[in-house]
Amino acid sequence: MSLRILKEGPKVINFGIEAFYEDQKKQGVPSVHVDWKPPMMNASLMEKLRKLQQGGKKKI
Amino acid sequence: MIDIQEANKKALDILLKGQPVLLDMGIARDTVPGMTDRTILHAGPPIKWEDMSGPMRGAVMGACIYEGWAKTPEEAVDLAKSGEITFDPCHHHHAVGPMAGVTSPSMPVFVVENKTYGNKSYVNMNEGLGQVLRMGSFSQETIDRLRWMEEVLYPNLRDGIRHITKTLGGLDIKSIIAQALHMGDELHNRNKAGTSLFLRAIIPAMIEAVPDVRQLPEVIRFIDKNDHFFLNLAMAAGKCTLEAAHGVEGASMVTTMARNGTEFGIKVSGLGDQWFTCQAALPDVLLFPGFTKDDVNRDIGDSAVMETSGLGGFALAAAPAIIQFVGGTAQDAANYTMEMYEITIGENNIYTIPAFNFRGTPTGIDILKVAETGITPVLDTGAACKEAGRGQVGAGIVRMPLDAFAKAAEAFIEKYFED
Amino acid sequence: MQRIEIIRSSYYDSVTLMLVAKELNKLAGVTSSSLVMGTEANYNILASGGFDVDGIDATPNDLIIAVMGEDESVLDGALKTAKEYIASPPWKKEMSAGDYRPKSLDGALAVQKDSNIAVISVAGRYAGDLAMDCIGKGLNVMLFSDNVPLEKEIELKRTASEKGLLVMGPDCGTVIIRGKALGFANACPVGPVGIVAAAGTGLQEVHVQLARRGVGTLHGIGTGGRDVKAEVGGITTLTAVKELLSDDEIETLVVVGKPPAKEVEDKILDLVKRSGKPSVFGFIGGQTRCDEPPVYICSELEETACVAAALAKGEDPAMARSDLKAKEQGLKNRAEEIGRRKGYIRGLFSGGTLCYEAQLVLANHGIDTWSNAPFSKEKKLENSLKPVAHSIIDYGEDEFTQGRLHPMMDLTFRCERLLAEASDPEVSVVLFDVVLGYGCNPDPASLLADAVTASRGRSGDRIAYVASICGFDDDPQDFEKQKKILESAGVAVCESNAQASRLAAFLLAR
Repeated sequence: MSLRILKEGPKVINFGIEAFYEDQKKQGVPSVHVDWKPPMMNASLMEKLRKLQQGGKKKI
Repeated sequence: MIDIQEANKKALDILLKGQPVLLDMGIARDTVPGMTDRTILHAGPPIKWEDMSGPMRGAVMGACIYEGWAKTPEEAVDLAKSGEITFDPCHHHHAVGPMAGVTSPSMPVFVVENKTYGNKSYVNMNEGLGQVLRMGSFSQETIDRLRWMEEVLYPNLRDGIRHITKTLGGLDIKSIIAQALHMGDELHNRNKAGTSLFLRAIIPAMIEAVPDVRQLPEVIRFIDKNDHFFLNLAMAAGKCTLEAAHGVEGASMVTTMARNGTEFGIKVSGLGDQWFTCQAALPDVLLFPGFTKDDVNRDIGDSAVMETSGLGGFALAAAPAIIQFVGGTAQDAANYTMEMYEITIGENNIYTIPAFNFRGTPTGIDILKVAETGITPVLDTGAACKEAGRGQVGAGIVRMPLDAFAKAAEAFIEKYFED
Repeated sequence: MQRIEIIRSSYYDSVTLMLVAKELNKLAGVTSSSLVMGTEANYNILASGGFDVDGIDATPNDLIIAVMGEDESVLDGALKTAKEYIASPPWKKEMSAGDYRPKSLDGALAVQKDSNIAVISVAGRYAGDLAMDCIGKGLNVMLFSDNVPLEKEIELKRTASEKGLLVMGPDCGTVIIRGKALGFANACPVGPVGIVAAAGTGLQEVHVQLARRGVGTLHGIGTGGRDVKAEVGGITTLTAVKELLSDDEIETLVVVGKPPAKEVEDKILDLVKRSGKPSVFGFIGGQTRCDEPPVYICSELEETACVAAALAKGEDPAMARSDLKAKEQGLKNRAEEIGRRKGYIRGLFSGGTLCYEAQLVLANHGIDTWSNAPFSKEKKLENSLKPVAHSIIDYGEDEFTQGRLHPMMDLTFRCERLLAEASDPEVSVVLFDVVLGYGCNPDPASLLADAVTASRGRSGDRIAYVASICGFDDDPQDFEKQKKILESAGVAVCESNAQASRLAAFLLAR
């Protein structure tokens, strides 16, 4: 198994601290900053949603 | 075995394959299914008289007077309270209406058919700006105009449309929308190009088909003075294409999104007939001279059908002039559209954005993505005055409230997730 | 009073006109204003707005500017302003740089399809699920966030491993890929060294010490502090070690961190020995093992860098080690110059590994310290805010970072604590780290120097201040300048954390 990123260099999606994104840009690293906010729904619903989206059992 | 992605793909596919064509006009009583002699249809989710806001009440009162059920506004109010009138959402009758959206039995309506799937939708004619019923006006000027629309505007338009139907099979609304989108319209708050294109199509047909061409100058001038005339047709086109996509098992796509001035409501393809509602947004918009923030009524109208079908606020990148309403730049307009790609299932096949290299507009709102990301649909809309009859107070960008989407997402997960 | 002016044959968008009116209404003395084209409908609007429109003969092609105000001068000014604004609207901003900020992972992937790593620094309770989503989309993950449950970490690393992806973290502050810094990292040259670190500042210190010896680093893979525990089994460490051992751009491997669980350590050593690539282990506080060239075992960070640099340059590691050891005499001399003293040492650290190393060095010189992150359980401070006797505090630990920025970014709290130590009459040595580089505070030296100066106001010469700067010449903060600022405030700046800790030990009289 080979980690391609070590040859390609980082191409970042940055979640959270914006300063990190600024630093990435300063170094010429391709980067996208996500204006991330916590999900609206509570944790248990999010859990179910995740399972649903990953192919959990569904009623026909 | 149902796959949400597959179901949504199917629902979006149905939406995109729709072919809305203007075929005919008729009087609501005879034309709109489920219409009775005492039915008043309105925009948004179901609502009782007691809960209606100023503009909605004013429109209902105006309709009662127009219909001859009441001679004065006071009588109209008594009648409305009495329970003799059946209030029902336009949406329950395959219809849509902008702002108050009030449609009463004697009103003429356009008939638009989705040729691909055979279903029809209905909408009344746009009255223009100022003292108009859909903003809650019940003044004599409003009533007189409605009568003129019924007696002069309607028959001439109807004959012209029937002529087009006879000779060309109908007026392709989708094609007009697609062109208008490339001419600076976003089809919710800016419909100037759409109205112009519609006039080009209807004028020759009317000249050939109407019994008395001397009525045509005032008919044409009326439409010409109203930059939003085409909005109603675009709304009906959106309605009939979306309805065909409703009822796909497992699909989390929004097929109805509407406001009644008090509440905001949505319906979802895979969740049956249930409305998911919450309080309607209070628009924070650019105000016209003479109005203040205190004058603004809560969000109202079925015109959210435009965003539901991938236009309006979702197509702002194609209509950057509108963004000045919020003191924004062309980049801001583009950013709004970019944001909407994050909550939609896919991209439109016919409605494209020149600035994005003709990328299709974000189409098919996914309640699950809205719930996950917290991004709510952005609408580009007009705001009505709280006080019935004072007209439009402003226009701008309004975010739809998250709550209804959260409720729908929860119901969706409960319905489809099995441990 | 009112003023109405007509501008003939001009067209303006109604939106523009409304916005101009909005601006005019903000002017002092203006009670109402309206800009409209001369249509019939607009005449009515003006009239209903209280304007007297008698005698106005504007046509629909003419612009009417109508203003109501307190007096003539106000109206003059308003009309002048109105014409200026129409010509050049003040609210028109420059076109923004064009950076669309997506709000979701999918949105980001739509904008940058070839993304290969997610850098996640959101709150811990959300970070795990977000990381899982990213892995699901084929991204490697740098998980800067801490407070991610252990079970989640294991699940993430197992899933990533199956997909050939790397999860660096949780609590991973530093990653270097092809010389590019992610998170907290220094601007050092690129070279033939690959570092695998279970420790952020551990990686930083080694990275910087290598650079000072003229040796560059290509990759610095952070693994997060728990990776080498038995439960996680060193998934990330082993993957990274394997990769770097088989990477022909890497000539020297360095593995640094606290000592791993036995089974993990054995696996790492096994891999390294079989590959035959020169490797240096910096197990800080580990059992002294014998070197088995080309595998070298060190117990301090500078020592690790020193040996690795020698290997990279084709020099003798033994010589490098003894040169380093020889510096001890210089530190003893310096301690004499500054003045040895009785009393307690307080350490205020922003880097976890630096804090750990400081404790170890002091212990090796007979000074047992308390800490909130001690290397032996019995020496855990009951209350991190109440240091006792000899205490070395890690201000980057969880109890200090809940809802607060990391101490390498925000020095406020540490500076307050430094001042507080000055009031304790038994404290005679204060030791601290200054971390430079990307992600860190733009001028930590000034903040700390000010705190030191203020402290001297309370403690006079009682306290000796010792520090090391984890930084390099090319760092954004300007290493030399930072050093000068600290020295001007009377801080004894040493070449490395180990040397600073040693100097502190020598300062405390026996």
